[in-house]
Amino acid sequence: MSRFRRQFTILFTLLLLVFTSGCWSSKEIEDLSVYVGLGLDVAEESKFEKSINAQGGHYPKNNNFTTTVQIVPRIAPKQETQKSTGASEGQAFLNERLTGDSLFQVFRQFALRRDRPLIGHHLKVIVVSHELTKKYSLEQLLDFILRDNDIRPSSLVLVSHGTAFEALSSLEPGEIPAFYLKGVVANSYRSNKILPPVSLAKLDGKMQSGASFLLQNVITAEGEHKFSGAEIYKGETKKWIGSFNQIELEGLSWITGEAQEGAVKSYAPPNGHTVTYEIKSTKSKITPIIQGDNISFHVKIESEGQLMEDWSAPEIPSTDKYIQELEVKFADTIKEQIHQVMGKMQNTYRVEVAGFGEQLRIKYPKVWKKVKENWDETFSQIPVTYDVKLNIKDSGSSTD
Amino acid sequence: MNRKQDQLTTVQAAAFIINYMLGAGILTLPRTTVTAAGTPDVWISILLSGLLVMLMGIILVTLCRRFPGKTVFQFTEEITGKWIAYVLGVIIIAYFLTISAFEIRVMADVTGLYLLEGTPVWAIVMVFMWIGFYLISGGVNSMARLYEIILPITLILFVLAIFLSSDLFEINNLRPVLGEGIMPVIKGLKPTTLAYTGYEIMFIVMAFMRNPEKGKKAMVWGILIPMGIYFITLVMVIGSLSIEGMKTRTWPTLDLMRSFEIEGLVFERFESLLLVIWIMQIFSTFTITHYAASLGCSQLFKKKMLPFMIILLPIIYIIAMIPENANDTFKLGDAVGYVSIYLFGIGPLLLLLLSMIRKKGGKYN
Amino acid sequence: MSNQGNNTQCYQESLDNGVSRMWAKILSYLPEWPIWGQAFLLFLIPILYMKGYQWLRSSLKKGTFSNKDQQNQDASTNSSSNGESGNYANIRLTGDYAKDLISVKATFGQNSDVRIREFTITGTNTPAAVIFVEGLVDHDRLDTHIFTPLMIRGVPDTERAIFEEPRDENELKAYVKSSLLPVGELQEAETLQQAAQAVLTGKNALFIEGVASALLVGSAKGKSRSLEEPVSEALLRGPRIGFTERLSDNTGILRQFGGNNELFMTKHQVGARVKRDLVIAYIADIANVDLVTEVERRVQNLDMDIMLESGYVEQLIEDDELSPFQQIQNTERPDRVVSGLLEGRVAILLDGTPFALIVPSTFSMLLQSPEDYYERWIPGTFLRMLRFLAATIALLAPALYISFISFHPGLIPTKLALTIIQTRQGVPFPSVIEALIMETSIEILREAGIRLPKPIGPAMGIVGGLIIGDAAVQAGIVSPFLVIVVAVTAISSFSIPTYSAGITLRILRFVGMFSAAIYGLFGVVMFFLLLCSHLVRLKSFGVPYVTPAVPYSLSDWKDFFIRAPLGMMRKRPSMMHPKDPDRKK
Repeated sequence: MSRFRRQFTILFTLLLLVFTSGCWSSKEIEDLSVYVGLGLDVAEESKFEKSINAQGGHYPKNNNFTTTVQIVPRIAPKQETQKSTGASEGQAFLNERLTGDSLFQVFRQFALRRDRPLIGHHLKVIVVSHELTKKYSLEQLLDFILRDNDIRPSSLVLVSHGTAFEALSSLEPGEIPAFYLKGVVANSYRSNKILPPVSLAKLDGKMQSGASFLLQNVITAEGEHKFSGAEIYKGETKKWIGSFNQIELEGLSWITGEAQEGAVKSYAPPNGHTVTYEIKSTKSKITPIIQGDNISFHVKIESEGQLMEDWSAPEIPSTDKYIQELEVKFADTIKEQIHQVMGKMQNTYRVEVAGFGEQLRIKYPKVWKKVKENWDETFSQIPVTYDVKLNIKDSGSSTD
Repeated sequence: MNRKQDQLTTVQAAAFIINYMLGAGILTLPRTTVTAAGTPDVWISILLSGLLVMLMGIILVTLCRRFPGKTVFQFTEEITGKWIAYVLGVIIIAYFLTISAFEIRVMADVTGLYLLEGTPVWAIVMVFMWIGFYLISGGVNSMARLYEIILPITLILFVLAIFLSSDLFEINNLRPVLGEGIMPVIKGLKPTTLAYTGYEIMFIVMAFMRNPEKGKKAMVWGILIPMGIYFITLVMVIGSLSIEGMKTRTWPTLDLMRSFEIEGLVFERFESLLLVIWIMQIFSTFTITHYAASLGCSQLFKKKMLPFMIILLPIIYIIAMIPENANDTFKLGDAVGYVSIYLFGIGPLLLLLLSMIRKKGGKYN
Repeated sequence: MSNQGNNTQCYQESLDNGVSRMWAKILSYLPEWPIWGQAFLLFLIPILYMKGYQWLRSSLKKGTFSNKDQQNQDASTNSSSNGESGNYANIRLTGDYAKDLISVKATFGQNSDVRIREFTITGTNTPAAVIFVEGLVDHDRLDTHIFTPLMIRGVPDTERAIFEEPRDENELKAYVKSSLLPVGELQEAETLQQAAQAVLTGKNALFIEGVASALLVGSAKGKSRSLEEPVSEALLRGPRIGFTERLSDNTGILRQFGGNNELFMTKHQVGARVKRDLVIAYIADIANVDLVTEVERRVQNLDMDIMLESGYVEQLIEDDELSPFQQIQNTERPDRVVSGLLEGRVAILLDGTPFALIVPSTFSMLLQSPEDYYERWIPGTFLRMLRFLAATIALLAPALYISFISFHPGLIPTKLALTIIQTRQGVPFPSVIEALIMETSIEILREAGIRLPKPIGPAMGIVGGLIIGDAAVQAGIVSPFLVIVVAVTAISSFSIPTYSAGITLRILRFVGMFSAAIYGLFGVVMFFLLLCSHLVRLKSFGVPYVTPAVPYSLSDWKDFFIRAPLGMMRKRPSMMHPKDPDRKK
């Protein structure tokens, strides 16, 4: 019995050794800071940082960028949350900024400042200021984010016209800018002026393939945001080279066939009253035409929709003739938009972001192999023809 | 002991093969194949190599049918004589051990990366191996039942999870089909064939089957279903992430699951689903190879199996800890795959011919 | 020449270098010593486990932990129970009336409730006596069926000769048995102890001068209750009959309910000191012969002083007492027993308890209720799937809660995560402790609820649950989300039809919580795998516990997740290997 006892004690102590280290990876959720938005700006040290540095709290770094993290929820003391069940005073989030040259190191610096470590599982939106992307390529900026095992590749990437910090701020009480931005991006189904959402995963794919691409733009004024236009990034350098405005983006959406919902406004004869067309569906077909060594493209766009608004005074009845006139007018407006965007693509910026290369790759892979090296340049010389046909199916609830 | 109902049914044998095949490979398959082939046509490669493996599998089954009731360790002796059989047996045991270790290592890496960051590797691996030991000490019948339980869960959840990502799917990423000709498909055959390592378990399973004449059916089904799974995986991953986006991701299938969120559905994030079934699949692969290695040792050295099961545990662990970084691990996996092709692709053919020439073993009735 | 020598020397050197470099490389791949230590631990634990397990098993079989007692048991031979032991053992009854009566009065006749009624058989001068126990005697029967024929009618003149001069004692006994005692139940006791046992369990002993044994007539009247619906297994639709505590009543109900000429019952006596009757029932042309033999063998090996309840029998004949899962089903409802019998199972009924046992039992039976069959198949299927879902929730919900809150905050939806963070501010405990506190309180509440008097019980349960949960949240001990999780878990575990399965799930839930506390979601997966590994190894009387889920059998699946329309359930479950697989006959 005693021999058995001894064995048992030895075994037990051995087992205890195993468990003395405790539960290794458990960290209670309320002890964590969840950040839902990330912003990257040109380097500008905040006042806090400057005074810390003055007090000797600096570490060797180059000030390449300033990063903003949006932490939610803002932890209020317990009595407050019990009293105010309705509107919460103040902001529901907290924006923190730090400057440095290594994203990872900067994040770990946050650990020196807050009692709750940051976790990136719930990151929803990454906003990059276009100023910063003039200097550094997107690939450099997003490298850490792509490597991190916390951050999910489903986060959306947006570009801000001003600073990312502004884009991630909001004066509306209770609103969390990151969620708001994500929500607006989801609105792309309501309008053809917004690009379809670009997640990290898709962005990585586009960047790796070397093609030029677009990112949605956010403009901030008076504390409110608007999604307007897109920023163009050159495939080789992945740096910012220009932007499209709303009209050009519209035109682009017609070429790519993304215009599934939205409004087209035009001024109809005889006296230029406003008419609006609601898009119900669009089909766009890009056909590459190869003749010997010459490549050209033809775009065929067909769309169906409704006549939604007619400012004619007195009201012009919707006869067939009138509808056909309007169809032609709308088509002309669309052609105008396309012409504008093609001009910008081929002449001003010399990039190709509308999916022409994709179609060439699919239809004529051998030709694509030859030209894909300098595709942006090559494309600027390629003639593109297009024709647009609209079909106004009905005029909504009023037949007039 | 050998009552009729204690032996494996055909479905159970197929379950063995399926569970063994689906393992660590699923997560890296898209990347390895696309890196070799360069085009999105690898889905054709996977179908072709599936058929090729079926052929090799049928040869294997025919060989086993000539020696009913005996595992490979027992009948090679009849074909080739004692010493060669001994060497062959030891090689096969070492092969199974290495696969066990490889699977454990990959599981520990992925779990440590995505699920449990602070937990030391040994804690993750040890509890896994102990539970595996508990299972296989119950014998091949208990194992078969467990695999039959795990299999439908895995299949349903996997297909569900993959199809939830169909939002991200763009058919253009898969086109053009055969854009660069048939060469990429041929180049893709090598890594895809490596994904089918698993059919060799029939060397051991056939001896326990209740109806060995249905072995061919079990083999065919056992390869068809993983073929389907691999096909769906490749198509969805490439279609959603595009081959460029995928080349730089270490675990593309997992990243596919992390690339979307469906708000409103109970779990917003579905990589937990994939990780859960993947861990269960690794468990089954590990237990099958562990059992095969212990069985081999016990049949080669003519001793009881239980001590071997225990002794092999630390050996597997040490082999699993040998690769120092992720690249080494993948190299180990590739090396094992090559060995498998020679050992179990060409080997059974040779053995079959030899057995026919030397007239060993009966023709199946 | 020297050039060559140089060359070979260089060659030799480079070879040495190469070898040593290769050796160094191999050494660099060898893992560090902590890994060797871990490998050793890996190796050690299974060995200890196997040794410990074998030791535990053998102790359980022998019945004691200490080595000395085990050796004693091995050494002593099984004493045959043929001989009687105890007080006044092995005293045969002679035919001498006076002598027998004296021995009776000296032994068990001294009990205060034993009565002796002496009389003379009319028509002869033979003295006789009836001995009975006051509380158990059926006076009416005694008076009309024993005293009346013997004392009023008596022996007719023609047969007096047999009494006065019997050729041998057997003739007298045979005459008495066949002509003088109009009772249905008649047995004999040859020894004093047998007579004592019979009388003290309610039979009446008749001593007649010249008969060298006691004739045992009648049986105990004893109070027994009417047939009511069993409390623990109430159904909405179905017969409202349950077994009672009398074995004869139960076998009667069984025959009434589902008997035909093939329903076979064998009786055994179990219990070393207090013998009780035990009946094994099966349908002879359906049940597998091996199964019946095995059941009988195990019943005969029972070794306990008294079988108080069928639970004793269940625990002593089950396959694996170390498993948390029950391998034998118990029920109070005859319809469950009958349907089990028709599937090829064997039923065990014990005198003194209304709970009958059904063997073998499998995992699916834990979640089935007869109501599934009495309703149509669509509601039946729906209810069954609901129960499966409830069982899963009851088992895994707290473990999942712990793993998501403490380990994987990234796997829960963002809005939920934010709400949880806000509500969990100020909670001092990690989620494990929180969950443990709440779960333990619920378990204590539940145990208490069973013993509360009927009018207070349900109200107390609801009120207690709500108030405690709310108060705990207000006090800041637990978070509101946890209260919801615990409440849902508790409700789900109530929906399990069999009480014993419910207990099992409750115990396993705690194990799951612990494994989730150490390893998070990985721990939950490991727990599930461990559970499944245990289940697949478990057998109940030769039938693997996890049938009908595996091995795959389409016809068995008709009754597992779904409940196929009655017309489609043609076959009996093949797991039982019945002799007659077709149900329609």
